[in-house]
Amino acid sequence: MRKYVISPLSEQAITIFLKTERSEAAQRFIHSFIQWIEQDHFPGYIECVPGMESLCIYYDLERVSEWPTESHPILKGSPHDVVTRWLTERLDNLLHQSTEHQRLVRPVVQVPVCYCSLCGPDAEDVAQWIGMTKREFVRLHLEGKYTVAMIGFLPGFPYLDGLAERLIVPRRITPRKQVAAGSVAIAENQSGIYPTHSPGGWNIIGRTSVILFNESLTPPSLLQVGDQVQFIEASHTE
Amino acid sequence: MNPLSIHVKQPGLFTTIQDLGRVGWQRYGVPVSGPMDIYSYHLANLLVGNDSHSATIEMNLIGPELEFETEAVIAICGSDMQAIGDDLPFPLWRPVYVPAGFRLKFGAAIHGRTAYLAISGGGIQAGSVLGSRSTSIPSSLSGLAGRALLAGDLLPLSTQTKRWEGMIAQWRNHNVRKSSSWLTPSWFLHPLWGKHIQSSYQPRVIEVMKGNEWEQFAQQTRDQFITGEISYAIQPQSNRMGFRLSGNPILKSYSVPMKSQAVTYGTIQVPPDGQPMILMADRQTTGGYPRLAQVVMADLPHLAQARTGENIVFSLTNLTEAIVRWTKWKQAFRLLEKRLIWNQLIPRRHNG
Repeated sequence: MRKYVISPLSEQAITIFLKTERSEAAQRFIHSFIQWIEQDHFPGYIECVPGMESLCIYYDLERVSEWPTESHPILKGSPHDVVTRWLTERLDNLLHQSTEHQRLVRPVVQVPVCYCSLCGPDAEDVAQWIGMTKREFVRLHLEGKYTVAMIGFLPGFPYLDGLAERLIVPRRITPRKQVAAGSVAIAENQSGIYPTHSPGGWNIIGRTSVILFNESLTPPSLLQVGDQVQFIEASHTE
Repeated sequence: MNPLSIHVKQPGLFTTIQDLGRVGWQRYGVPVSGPMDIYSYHLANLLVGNDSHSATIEMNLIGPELEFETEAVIAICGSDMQAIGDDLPFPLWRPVYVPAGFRLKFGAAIHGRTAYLAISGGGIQAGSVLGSRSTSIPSSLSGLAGRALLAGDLLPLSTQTKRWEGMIAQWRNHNVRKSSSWLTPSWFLHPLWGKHIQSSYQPRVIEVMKGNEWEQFAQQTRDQFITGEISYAIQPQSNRMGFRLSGNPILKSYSVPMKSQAVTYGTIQVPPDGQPMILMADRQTTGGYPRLAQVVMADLPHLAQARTGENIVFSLTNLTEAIVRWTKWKQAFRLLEKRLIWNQLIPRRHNG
Protein backbone atom coordinates (compact mmCIF):
# COMPACT_ATOMS: atom_id res chain seq x y z
CA MET A 1 0.00 0.00 0.00
CA ARG A 2 1.25 3.42 -0.84
CA LYS A 3 2.25 5.74 1.93
CA TYR A 4 2.65 9.48 1.97
CA VAL A 5 4.08 12.34 3.99
CA ILE A 6 2.52 15.77 4.23
CA SER A 7 4.86 18.66 4.85
CA PRO A 8 4.49 22.45 4.64
CA LEU A 9 6.18 24.34 1.82
CA SER A 10 5.25 27.73 3.26
CA GLU A 11 2.58 29.32 5.45
CA GLN A 12 0.09 28.86 2.64
CA ALA A 13 1.31 25.83 0.73
CA ILE A 14 1.51 22.20 1.72
CA THR A 15 3.08 19.30 -0.18
CA ILE A 16 1.99 15.67 -0.29
CA PHE A 17 4.96 13.37 -0.94
CA LEU A 18 4.10 9.87 -2.08
CA LYS A 19 6.40 7.17 -0.78
CA THR A 20 6.31 4.46 -3.38
CA GLU A 21 8.38 2.11 -5.45
CA ARG A 22 6.03 2.35 -8.40
CA SER A 23 6.53 5.88 -9.64
CA GLU A 24 4.20 5.65 -12.64
CA ALA A 25 1.36 4.45 -10.43
CA ALA A 26 2.14 7.25 -8.00
CA GLN A 27 1.97 9.81 -10.79
CA ARG A 28 -1.39 8.38 -11.97
CA PHE A 29 -2.71 8.67 -8.42
CA ILE A 30 -1.59 12.30 -8.29
CA HIS A 31 -3.39 13.01 -11.57
CA SER A 32 -6.59 11.46 -10.21
CA PHE A 33 -6.27 13.46 -7.02
CA ILE A 34 -5.88 16.70 -8.96
CA GLN A 35 -9.06 16.01 -10.94
CA TRP A 36 -10.85 15.15 -7.75
CA ILE A 37 -9.69 18.14 -5.64
CA GLU A 38 -10.38 20.59 -8.46
CA GLN A 39 -14.02 19.43 -8.33
CA ASP A 40 -14.39 19.19 -4.58
CA HIS A 41 -12.13 21.22 -2.34
CA PHE A 42 -11.99 22.96 1.01
CA PRO A 43 -12.84 26.66 1.53
CA GLY A 44 -9.68 28.61 0.81
CA TYR A 45 -8.21 26.12 -1.67
CA ILE A 46 -6.46 27.99 -4.49
CA GLU A 47 -4.67 25.51 -6.72
CA CYS A 48 -2.39 22.50 -6.80
CA VAL A 49 0.94 21.93 -8.51
CA PRO A 50 2.10 18.39 -9.25
CA GLY A 51 5.74 17.42 -9.04
CA MET A 52 7.43 14.07 -9.48
CA GLU A 53 5.69 11.88 -6.91
CA SER A 54 4.48 14.97 -5.08
CA LEU A 55 1.57 17.37 -5.13
CA CYS A 56 1.60 20.85 -3.65
CA ILE A 57 -1.65 22.45 -2.51
CA TYR A 58 -1.82 26.25 -2.27
CA TYR A 59 -4.46 27.86 -0.07
CA ASP A 60 -5.54 31.23 1.30
CA LEU A 61 -4.29 31.42 4.87
CA GLU A 62 -6.98 33.79 6.10
CA ARG A 63 -9.80 31.83 4.50
CA VAL A 64 -8.62 28.57 6.06
CA SER A 65 -8.21 30.29 9.45
CA GLU A 66 -11.88 31.22 9.25
CA TRP A 67 -13.13 27.61 9.22
CA PRO A 68 -15.68 27.29 12.02
CA THR A 69 -14.04 25.43 14.87
CA GLU A 70 -16.80 25.40 17.51
CA SER A 71 -19.07 23.02 15.65
CA HIS A 72 -16.22 20.96 14.25
CA PRO A 73 -13.68 20.19 16.97
CA ILE A 74 -11.66 18.24 14.42
CA LEU A 75 -11.00 21.53 12.69
CA LYS A 76 -9.16 23.01 15.66
CA GLY A 77 -5.55 23.80 15.15
CA SER A 78 -3.36 25.89 12.90
CA PRO A 79 -4.33 26.33 9.24
CA HIS A 80 -1.61 23.84 8.36
CA ASP A 81 -3.08 21.28 10.78
CA VAL A 82 -6.62 21.60 9.47
CA VAL A 83 -5.57 21.33 5.85
CA THR A 84 -3.36 18.34 6.70
CA ARG A 85 -6.28 16.57 8.39
CA TRP A 86 -8.60 17.34 5.49
CA LEU A 87 -6.06 15.99 3.00
CA THR A 88 -5.23 12.94 5.13
CA GLU A 89 -8.87 11.94 5.30
CA ARG A 90 -9.31 12.24 1.52
CA LEU A 91 -6.01 10.55 0.70
CA ASP A 92 -6.76 7.60 2.97
CA ASN A 93 -10.23 7.22 1.44
CA LEU A 94 -8.91 7.34 -2.11
CA LEU A 95 -6.02 5.01 -1.36
CA HIS A 96 -8.45 2.45 0.08
CA GLN A 97 -10.56 2.49 -3.00
CA SER A 98 -9.65 0.73 -6.24
CA THR A 99 -5.97 0.46 -7.02
CA GLU A 100 -6.54 1.81 -10.50
CA HIS A 101 -8.30 5.10 -10.26
CA GLN A 102 -11.08 6.33 -12.47
CA ARG A 103 -9.80 9.24 -14.40
CA LEU A 104 -11.28 11.29 -17.14
CA VAL A 105 -9.22 10.01 -20.03
CA ARG A 106 -8.54 12.51 -22.78
CA PRO A 107 -7.61 11.53 -26.31
CA VAL A 108 -3.94 10.86 -27.00
CA VAL A 109 -2.22 14.01 -28.22
CA GLN A 110 -0.20 13.43 -31.36
CA VAL A 111 2.91 15.59 -31.69
CA PRO A 112 4.61 15.64 -35.11
CA VAL A 113 8.39 15.86 -34.77
CA CYS A 114 11.14 16.46 -37.28
CA TYR A 115 14.34 14.72 -36.23
CA CYS A 116 16.63 16.24 -38.84
CA SER A 117 20.02 17.53 -37.79
CA LEU A 118 18.83 21.15 -37.81
CA CYS A 119 15.84 20.42 -35.58
CA GLY A 120 17.56 17.86 -33.41
CA PRO A 121 21.22 18.86 -33.16
CA ASP A 122 21.94 16.35 -30.39
CA ALA A 123 20.19 13.32 -31.89
CA GLU A 124 23.23 11.99 -33.73
CA ASP A 125 25.54 12.41 -30.70
CA VAL A 126 23.10 10.86 -28.29
CA ALA A 127 22.53 7.87 -30.60
CA GLN A 128 26.28 7.36 -30.86
CA TRP A 129 26.72 7.68 -27.09
CA ILE A 130 24.11 5.00 -26.54
CA GLY A 131 25.62 2.83 -29.26
CA MET A 132 22.90 2.76 -31.91
CA THR A 133 22.24 4.33 -35.29
CA LYS A 134 20.24 7.53 -35.45
CA ARG A 135 17.50 5.63 -37.28
CA GLU A 136 17.18 3.12 -34.43
CA PHE A 137 17.25 5.94 -31.92
CA VAL A 138 14.44 7.83 -33.64
CA ARG A 139 12.39 4.64 -33.94
CA LEU A 140 12.74 3.92 -30.24
CA HIS A 141 11.72 7.47 -29.35
CA LEU A 142 8.66 7.27 -31.62
CA GLU A 143 7.61 3.92 -30.14
CA GLY A 144 7.26 5.31 -26.64
CA LYS A 145 3.91 5.79 -24.93
CA TYR A 146 4.35 9.01 -23.03
CA THR A 147 2.37 10.52 -20.17
CA VAL A 148 2.59 14.10 -18.92
CA ALA A 149 3.91 13.65 -15.39
CA MET A 150 3.98 17.35 -14.57
CA ILE A 151 4.30 20.78 -16.19
CA GLY A 152 6.85 23.27 -14.96
CA PHE A 153 10.09 25.12 -15.72
CA LEU A 154 8.29 27.16 -18.42
CA PRO A 155 4.58 27.73 -19.09
CA GLY A 156 3.40 24.61 -20.92
CA PHE A 157 6.68 22.65 -20.64
CA PRO A 158 5.67 18.99 -20.17
CA TYR A 159 7.81 16.46 -18.31
CA LEU A 160 6.97 13.19 -20.12
CA ASP A 161 7.29 9.79 -18.49
CA GLY A 162 7.61 6.71 -20.67
CA LEU A 163 11.03 7.15 -22.23
CA ALA A 164 12.55 3.80 -23.17
CA GLU A 165 15.23 2.71 -20.70
CA ARG A 166 17.79 2.41 -23.47
CA LEU A 167 17.37 6.11 -24.21
CA ILE A 168 18.33 7.31 -20.74
CA VAL A 169 21.13 9.84 -21.09
CA PRO A 170 22.34 12.55 -18.76
CA ARG A 171 21.68 16.25 -19.30
CA ARG A 172 24.17 18.21 -21.35
CA ILE A 173 27.26 19.21 -19.41
CA THR A 174 26.98 22.72 -20.78
CA PRO A 175 23.40 23.94 -21.16
CA ARG A 176 22.58 25.91 -24.32
CA LYS A 177 21.92 29.62 -23.96
CA GLN A 178 19.09 29.36 -26.50
CA VAL A 179 16.97 26.41 -27.47
CA ALA A 180 14.45 26.87 -30.32
CA ALA A 181 10.75 26.96 -29.52
CA GLY A 182 9.18 23.53 -30.15
CA SER A 183 12.40 21.67 -29.41
CA VAL A 184 11.81 18.08 -28.33
CA ALA A 185 14.35 16.95 -25.79
CA ILE A 186 15.41 14.06 -23.58
CA ALA A 187 17.31 14.00 -20.31
CA GLU A 188 17.61 11.24 -17.74
CA ASN A 189 14.42 9.21 -17.88
CA GLN A 190 12.12 11.84 -19.35
CA SER A 191 11.29 13.55 -22.59
CA GLY A 192 10.26 17.19 -22.75
CA ILE A 193 9.21 19.89 -25.20
CA TYR A 194 10.26 23.54 -24.96
CA PRO A 195 7.15 25.65 -25.69
CA THR A 196 9.21 28.79 -26.25
CA HIS A 197 12.82 29.52 -26.93
CA SER A 198 14.76 29.50 -23.70
CA PRO A 199 18.04 28.38 -22.19
CA GLY A 200 18.06 24.59 -21.96
CA GLY A 201 20.18 21.80 -20.57
CA TRP A 202 18.38 18.83 -22.13
CA ASN A 203 19.50 17.00 -25.28
CA ILE A 204 17.63 18.37 -28.28
CA ILE A 205 16.64 15.52 -30.57
CA GLY A 206 13.93 17.11 -32.73
CA ARG A 207 11.45 19.93 -33.15
CA THR A 208 7.70 20.27 -33.44
CA SER A 209 5.57 23.09 -34.83
CA VAL A 210 2.73 22.35 -32.42
CA ILE A 211 1.86 25.29 -30.16
CA LEU A 212 2.14 24.12 -26.58
CA PHE A 213 1.14 27.28 -24.81
CA ASN A 214 -1.28 30.07 -25.69
CA GLU A 215 -2.08 32.53 -22.92
CA SER A 216 -5.39 33.58 -24.43
CA LEU A 217 -6.86 30.08 -24.15
CA THR A 218 -8.36 28.42 -21.11
CA PRO A 219 -6.54 26.33 -20.11
CA PRO A 220 -3.55 28.00 -21.73
CA SER A 221 -1.58 24.80 -22.12
CA LEU A 222 -2.20 22.24 -24.85
CA LEU A 223 -1.20 19.47 -22.45
CA GLN A 224 -2.44 18.74 -18.95
CA VAL A 225 -0.92 16.47 -16.35
CA GLY A 226 -2.02 12.92 -17.02
CA ASP A 227 -2.37 13.40 -20.80
CA GLN A 228 -0.91 10.79 -23.11
CA VAL A 229 1.39 11.92 -25.88
CA GLN A 230 2.48 10.14 -29.04
CA PHE A 231 5.29 11.44 -31.22
CA ILE A 232 4.82 11.13 -34.97
CA GLU A 233 7.64 11.54 -37.45
CA ALA A 234 7.27 14.59 -39.66
CA SER A 235 9.31 16.08 -42.47
CA HIS A 236 11.12 19.34 -42.09
CA THR A 237 8.53 22.11 -42.51
CA GLU A 238 9.13 25.33 -40.66
CA MET B 1 -3.35 60.73 -26.82
CA ASN B 2 -5.79 58.71 -24.71
CA PRO B 3 -7.15 61.18 -22.14
CA LEU B 4 -7.34 58.60 -19.35
CA SER B 5 -3.79 57.36 -19.23
CA ILE B 6 -0.25 57.78 -18.01
CA HIS B 7 2.31 58.53 -20.66
CA VAL B 8 5.71 56.96 -20.00
CA LYS B 9 8.37 59.55 -20.87
CA GLN B 10 11.30 57.54 -19.52
CA PRO B 11 10.91 53.93 -18.39
CA GLY B 12 13.43 53.81 -15.55
CA LEU B 13 15.69 50.82 -15.04
CA PHE B 14 13.16 48.01 -14.75
CA THR B 15 9.57 49.11 -14.35
CA THR B 16 6.66 46.68 -14.71
CA ILE B 17 2.93 46.50 -14.05
CA GLN B 18 2.19 44.29 -11.04
CA ASP B 19 -1.05 43.36 -9.36
CA LEU B 20 -1.40 40.75 -6.63
CA GLY B 21 -0.29 37.94 -8.93
CA ARG B 22 -1.50 35.29 -11.36
CA VAL B 23 -2.91 32.41 -9.36
CA GLY B 24 -4.71 29.29 -10.46
CA TRP B 25 -2.51 28.29 -13.42
CA GLN B 26 0.69 27.11 -11.79
CA ARG B 27 0.07 23.48 -12.77
CA TYR B 28 0.41 24.62 -16.39
CA GLY B 29 3.78 26.17 -15.56
CA VAL B 30 2.43 29.72 -15.39
CA PRO B 31 4.37 31.73 -12.76
CA VAL B 32 2.56 33.83 -10.17
CA SER B 33 4.75 36.97 -10.43
CA GLY B 34 3.19 39.90 -8.53
CA PRO B 35 4.85 42.38 -6.15
CA MET B 36 8.31 41.81 -4.69
CA ASP B 37 7.42 43.89 -1.62
CA ILE B 38 3.83 43.09 -0.74
CA TYR B 39 3.71 45.47 2.22
CA SER B 40 4.45 48.52 0.09
CA TYR B 41 2.14 47.25 -2.65
CA HIS B 42 -0.83 46.83 -0.27
CA LEU B 43 -0.21 50.19 1.44
CA ALA B 44 -0.05 52.09 -1.85
CA ASN B 45 -3.37 50.63 -3.02
CA LEU B 46 -4.96 51.29 0.36
CA LEU B 47 -3.94 54.94 0.29
CA VAL B 48 -5.71 55.51 -3.05
CA GLY B 49 -8.83 53.59 -2.06
CA ASN B 50 -8.22 50.72 -4.47
CA ASP B 51 -9.12 47.10 -3.88
CA SER B 52 -6.31 44.78 -2.91
CA HIS B 53 -5.79 43.37 -6.42
CA SER B 54 -5.30 46.62 -8.32
CA ALA B 55 -2.43 46.87 -10.76
CA THR B 56 0.34 49.23 -9.74
CA ILE B 57 3.55 50.40 -11.34
CA GLU B 58 6.47 48.60 -9.70
CA MET B 59 9.79 50.38 -10.09
CA ASN B 60 13.25 49.03 -9.34
CA LEU B 61 16.41 50.94 -8.43
CA ILE B 62 15.82 53.79 -10.90
CA GLY B 63 12.26 54.96 -11.39
CA PRO B 64 10.48 56.25 -14.50
CA GLU B 65 9.36 59.64 -15.68
CA LEU B 66 5.61 59.79 -16.12
CA GLU B 67 3.12 62.28 -17.46
CA PHE B 68 -0.46 62.09 -16.22
CA GLU B 69 -2.84 62.79 -19.10
CA THR B 70 -5.64 63.08 -16.55
CA GLU B 71 -5.99 64.20 -12.93
CA ALA B 72 -5.61 61.40 -10.42
CA VAL B 73 -5.08 60.55 -6.78
CA ILE B 74 -1.86 58.59 -6.49
CA ALA B 75 0.33 57.17 -3.76
CA ILE B 76 3.93 56.00 -3.71
CA CYS B 77 5.09 53.49 -1.11
CA GLY B 78 8.39 51.69 -0.83
CA SER B 79 11.93 52.75 -1.47
CA ASP B 80 12.52 56.50 -1.73
CA MET B 81 13.53 57.14 -5.34
CA GLN B 82 13.73 60.90 -4.98
CA ALA B 83 10.55 61.66 -6.87
CA ILE B 84 10.33 65.22 -8.21
CA GLY B 85 7.29 67.13 -9.42
CA ASP B 86 7.14 70.84 -10.25
CA ASP B 87 10.87 70.88 -9.39
CA LEU B 88 10.04 69.97 -5.80
CA PRO B 89 10.47 66.74 -3.81
CA PHE B 90 7.28 64.72 -4.24
CA PRO B 91 5.81 63.17 -1.06
CA LEU B 92 5.54 59.44 -0.35
CA TRP B 93 3.39 57.34 2.01
CA ARG B 94 0.23 59.44 1.54
CA PRO B 95 -2.42 60.01 -1.14
CA VAL B 96 -1.64 62.95 -3.43
CA TYR B 97 -3.88 64.66 -5.93
CA VAL B 98 -2.13 65.48 -9.20
CA PRO B 99 -3.72 67.60 -11.96
CA ALA B 100 -3.95 66.67 -15.64
CA GLY B 101 -0.62 67.23 -17.37
CA PHE B 102 1.39 66.62 -14.21
CA ARG B 103 4.92 65.27 -14.71
CA LEU B 104 6.47 63.03 -12.09
CA LYS B 105 10.13 62.15 -12.37
CA PHE B 106 11.85 59.49 -10.27
CA GLY B 107 15.57 59.15 -9.70
CA ALA B 108 17.67 56.47 -8.04
CA ALA B 109 16.66 54.61 -4.90
CA ILE B 110 18.34 55.94 -1.78
CA HIS B 111 17.68 52.82 0.30
CA GLY B 112 16.03 49.61 -0.76
CA ARG B 113 15.28 48.67 -4.34
CA THR B 114 11.53 48.67 -5.04
CA ALA B 115 8.64 51.12 -4.86
CA TYR B 116 5.01 51.07 -5.97
CA LEU B 117 2.91 53.78 -7.57
CA ALA B 118 -0.81 53.19 -7.12
CA ILE B 119 -3.46 55.20 -8.96
CA SER B 120 -7.04 55.65 -7.80
CA GLY B 121 -9.87 54.14 -9.83
CA GLY B 122 -8.50 50.61 -9.71
CA GLY B 123 -4.99 51.18 -11.00
CA ILE B 124 -3.61 50.35 -14.44
CA GLN B 125 -6.30 48.89 -16.68
CA ALA B 126 -4.19 47.18 -19.31
CA GLY B 127 -3.06 43.67 -20.09
CA SER B 128 -5.10 41.15 -18.12
CA VAL B 129 -3.99 37.61 -18.96
CA LEU B 130 -5.28 34.51 -17.16
CA GLY B 131 -6.94 36.69 -14.56
CA SER B 132 -4.05 38.97 -13.70
CA ARG B 133 -2.31 42.09 -14.97
CA SER B 134 1.01 41.14 -13.41
CA THR B 135 3.88 41.15 -15.85
CA SER B 136 5.76 37.88 -15.95
CA ILE B 137 8.95 38.86 -17.74
CA PRO B 138 10.47 35.36 -18.00
CA SER B 139 7.23 34.08 -19.59
CA SER B 140 6.52 37.28 -21.55
CA LEU B 141 3.06 37.37 -20.06
CA SER B 142 0.76 40.30 -19.65
CA GLY B 143 1.31 43.63 -18.04
CA LEU B 144 2.35 45.53 -21.09
CA ALA B 145 2.87 42.83 -23.73
CA GLY B 146 4.92 40.84 -21.24
CA ARG B 147 7.78 43.30 -21.01
CA ALA B 148 9.07 46.13 -18.87
CA LEU B 149 7.90 49.65 -19.65
CA LEU B 150 9.42 51.56 -22.56
CA ALA B 151 9.41 55.25 -23.38
CA GLY B 152 6.23 56.06 -25.26
CA ASP B 153 4.04 53.49 -23.50
CA LEU B 154 0.53 54.58 -22.59
CA LEU B 155 -0.87 53.05 -19.41
CA PRO B 156 -4.68 53.12 -19.41
CA LEU B 157 -6.52 54.26 -16.29
CA SER B 158 -10.20 54.50 -15.38
CA THR B 159 -12.14 57.44 -13.97
CA GLN B 160 -10.61 58.30 -10.72
CA THR B 161 -11.36 61.14 -8.50
CA LYS B 162 -15.10 61.29 -7.97
CA ARG B 163 -14.97 59.52 -4.62
CA TRP B 164 -12.23 61.84 -3.52
CA GLU B 165 -14.06 65.12 -4.11
CA GLY B 166 -14.65 65.82 -0.41
CA MET B 167 -11.09 65.03 0.55
CA ILE B 168 -9.59 67.01 -2.30
CA ALA B 169 -11.58 70.05 -1.23
CA GLN B 170 -10.10 69.71 2.26
CA TRP B 171 -6.62 69.25 0.87
CA ARG B 172 -6.96 72.51 -1.09
CA ASN B 173 -7.34 74.35 2.22
CA HIS B 174 -4.30 72.64 3.62
CA ASN B 175 -2.19 73.39 0.55
CA VAL B 176 -3.13 77.06 0.15
CA ARG B 177 0.36 78.40 0.77
CA LYS B 178 2.20 75.81 -1.35
CA SER B 179 3.59 76.53 -4.78
CA SER B 180 3.27 73.01 -6.17
CA SER B 181 0.35 71.99 -8.37
CA TRP B 182 -0.31 68.87 -6.34
CA LEU B 183 -2.40 68.57 -3.19
CA THR B 184 -1.63 66.47 -0.12
CA PRO B 185 -3.59 65.80 3.05
CA SER B 186 -2.16 66.98 6.35
CA TRP B 187 -1.41 63.39 7.35
CA PHE B 188 0.81 60.59 6.13
CA LEU B 189 1.57 57.01 7.16
CA HIS B 190 3.79 56.51 10.16
CA PRO B 191 7.41 55.73 9.12
CA LEU B 192 7.15 52.36 10.87
CA TRP B 193 5.10 51.12 7.94
CA GLY B 194 8.26 51.43 5.85
CA LYS B 195 10.71 50.07 8.39
CA HIS B 196 11.34 46.96 6.28
CA ILE B 197 12.87 49.01 3.47
CA GLN B 198 16.24 49.66 4.99
CA SER B 199 17.93 47.67 7.65
CA SER B 200 18.23 49.45 10.97
CA TYR B 201 21.46 47.57 11.43
CA GLN B 202 23.55 45.51 9.07
CA PRO B 203 23.23 42.78 8.11
CA ARG B 204 19.49 42.20 7.48
CA VAL B 205 18.07 39.43 9.62
CA ILE B 206 15.69 37.21 7.71
CA GLU B 207 13.64 34.54 9.46
CA VAL B 208 13.30 31.16 7.79
CA MET B 209 11.61 27.81 8.38
CA LYS B 210 13.31 24.50 7.64
CA GLY B 211 12.93 23.39 4.06
CA ASN B 212 11.92 19.93 2.97
CA GLU B 213 15.51 18.79 2.32
CA TRP B 214 16.93 20.49 5.44
CA GLU B 215 18.09 17.15 6.89
CA GLN B 216 20.11 16.34 3.78
CA PHE B 217 22.55 19.14 4.48
CA ALA B 218 25.59 18.79 6.73
CA GLN B 219 24.81 19.75 10.31
CA GLN B 220 27.70 22.17 10.64
CA THR B 221 26.81 24.21 7.58
CA ARG B 222 23.15 24.15 8.59
CA ASP B 223 23.93 25.47 12.04
CA GLN B 224 26.16 28.17 10.63
CA PHE B 225 23.40 29.15 8.24
CA ILE B 226 20.97 29.97 11.03
CA THR B 227 23.07 31.13 13.95
CA GLY B 228 24.00 34.36 12.27
CA GLU B 229 27.70 33.56 12.30
CA ILE B 230 27.84 33.52 8.55
CA SER B 231 26.33 36.25 6.45
CA TYR B 232 25.48 35.99 2.78
CA ALA B 233 25.92 38.77 0.27
CA ILE B 234 23.37 39.55 -2.43
CA GLN B 235 25.02 39.05 -5.82
CA PRO B 236 24.65 41.43 -8.79
CA GLN B 237 22.75 38.92 -10.93
CA SER B 238 19.89 38.98 -8.42
CA ASN B 239 16.56 40.04 -9.89
CA ARG B 240 12.81 39.43 -9.72
CA MET B 241 13.34 35.74 -10.50
CA GLY B 242 15.75 35.05 -7.70
CA PHE B 243 18.37 36.45 -5.39
CA ARG B 244 21.73 34.72 -5.68
CA LEU B 245 23.71 34.73 -2.48
CA SER B 246 27.39 34.19 -1.91
CA GLY B 247 28.99 33.04 1.29
CA ASN B 248 30.01 29.86 3.03
CA PRO B 249 28.95 26.98 0.79
CA ILE B 250 26.16 24.84 2.20
CA LEU B 251 27.15 21.24 1.80
CA LYS B 252 25.07 18.12 1.45
CA SER B 253 25.85 15.40 3.91
CA TYR B 254 24.34 12.85 1.58
CA SER B 255 23.13 12.88 -1.97
CA VAL B 256 19.64 11.88 -2.95
CA PRO B 257 18.37 12.32 -6.50
CA MET B 258 16.17 15.36 -6.36
CA LYS B 259 12.70 15.14 -7.86
CA SER B 260 11.21 18.24 -9.45
CA GLN B 261 8.50 19.69 -7.25
CA ALA B 262 6.63 22.90 -6.51
CA VAL B 263 8.53 25.86 -5.15
CA THR B 264 7.25 29.26 -4.03
CA TYR B 265 8.29 32.85 -3.26
CA GLY B 266 11.01 32.65 -0.60
CA THR B 267 12.11 29.05 -1.22
CA ILE B 268 15.87 28.80 -0.63
CA GLN B 269 17.42 26.28 -3.00
CA VAL B 270 21.01 25.12 -2.93
CA PRO B 271 22.52 24.13 -6.28
CA PRO B 272 25.62 21.87 -6.44
CA ASP B 273 28.03 24.80 -5.91
CA GLY B 274 26.63 25.29 -2.42
CA GLN B 275 25.69 28.94 -2.93
CA PRO B 276 22.07 29.47 -1.89
CA MET B 277 19.50 30.96 -4.24
CA ILE B 278 16.27 32.50 -2.97
CA LEU B 279 13.35 32.26 -5.38
CA MET B 280 11.52 35.55 -5.73
CA ALA B 281 8.36 36.89 -7.38
CA ASP B 282 9.05 35.77 -10.99
CA ARG B 283 10.28 32.27 -10.02
CA GLN B 284 9.38 29.21 -12.06
CA THR B 285 6.62 27.06 -10.65
CA THR B 286 8.76 24.00 -9.98
CA GLY B 287 12.39 23.44 -9.11
CA GLY B 288 14.87 20.62 -9.04
CA TYR B 289 17.39 21.72 -6.44
CA PRO B 290 17.25 20.69 -2.78
CA ARG B 291 15.39 23.16 -0.59
CA LEU B 292 17.28 24.18 2.50
CA ALA B 293 14.81 26.64 3.99
CA GLN B 294 11.80 28.85 3.34
CA VAL B 295 11.78 32.59 4.05
CA VAL B 296 8.75 33.50 6.20
CA MET B 297 6.10 35.59 4.44
CA ALA B 298 6.46 38.36 6.99
CA ASP B 299 10.13 38.88 6.01
CA LEU B 300 9.79 38.65 2.22
CA PRO B 301 9.33 42.44 1.87
CA HIS B 302 12.43 43.05 4.03
CA LEU B 303 14.40 40.61 1.87
CA ALA B 304 13.03 42.02 -1.38
CA GLN B 305 14.37 45.47 -0.49
CA ALA B 306 17.94 44.23 0.03
CA ARG B 307 20.36 45.57 -2.56
CA THR B 308 23.34 44.05 -4.32
CA GLY B 309 26.25 43.83 -1.93
CA GLU B 310 24.09 43.92 1.19
CA ASN B 311 24.56 41.14 3.72
CA ILE B 312 21.86 38.85 5.03
CA VAL B 313 21.88 36.56 8.04
CA PHE B 314 19.25 33.95 8.65
CA SER B 315 17.44 33.08 11.84
CA LEU B 316 15.45 29.88 12.34
CA THR B 317 11.81 29.93 13.32
CA ASN B 318 8.87 27.59 12.88
CA LEU B 319 5.61 27.53 10.95
CA THR B 320 3.47 28.59 13.91
CA GLU B 321 5.57 31.66 14.69
CA ALA B 322 5.73 32.52 11.00
CA ILE B 323 1.93 32.50 10.76
CA VAL B 324 1.70 34.64 13.91
CA ARG B 325 4.04 37.27 12.42
CA TRP B 326 2.17 37.43 9.12
CA THR B 327 -1.21 37.57 10.86
CA LYS B 328 0.01 40.43 13.06
CA TRP B 329 0.89 42.52 10.04
CA LYS B 330 -2.43 41.74 8.35
CA GLN B 331 -4.32 42.73 11.49
CA ALA B 332 -2.39 45.99 11.84
CA PHE B 333 -3.12 46.69 8.17
CA ARG B 334 -6.84 46.05 8.59
CA LEU B 335 -6.90 48.32 11.63
CA LEU B 336 -5.14 51.05 9.64
CA GLU B 337 -7.71 50.65 6.87
CA LYS B 338 -10.60 50.94 9.34
CA ARG B 339 -9.12 54.07 10.92
CA LEU B 340 -8.49 55.80 7.61
CA ILE B 341 -12.02 55.07 6.37
CA TRP B 342 -13.72 55.86 9.70
CA ASN B 343 -12.01 59.22 9.85
CA GLN B 344 -12.93 59.85 6.21
CA LEU B 345 -9.32 60.24 5.23
CA ILE B 346 -9.75 57.81 2.34
CA PRO B 347 -12.98 56.70 0.66
CA ARG B 348 -14.37 53.26 1.38
CA ARG B 349 -12.59 50.67 -0.79
CA HIS B 350 -14.39 48.89 -3.63
CA ASN B 351 -13.86 45.52 -2.02
CA GLY B 352 -11.43 43.72 0.26
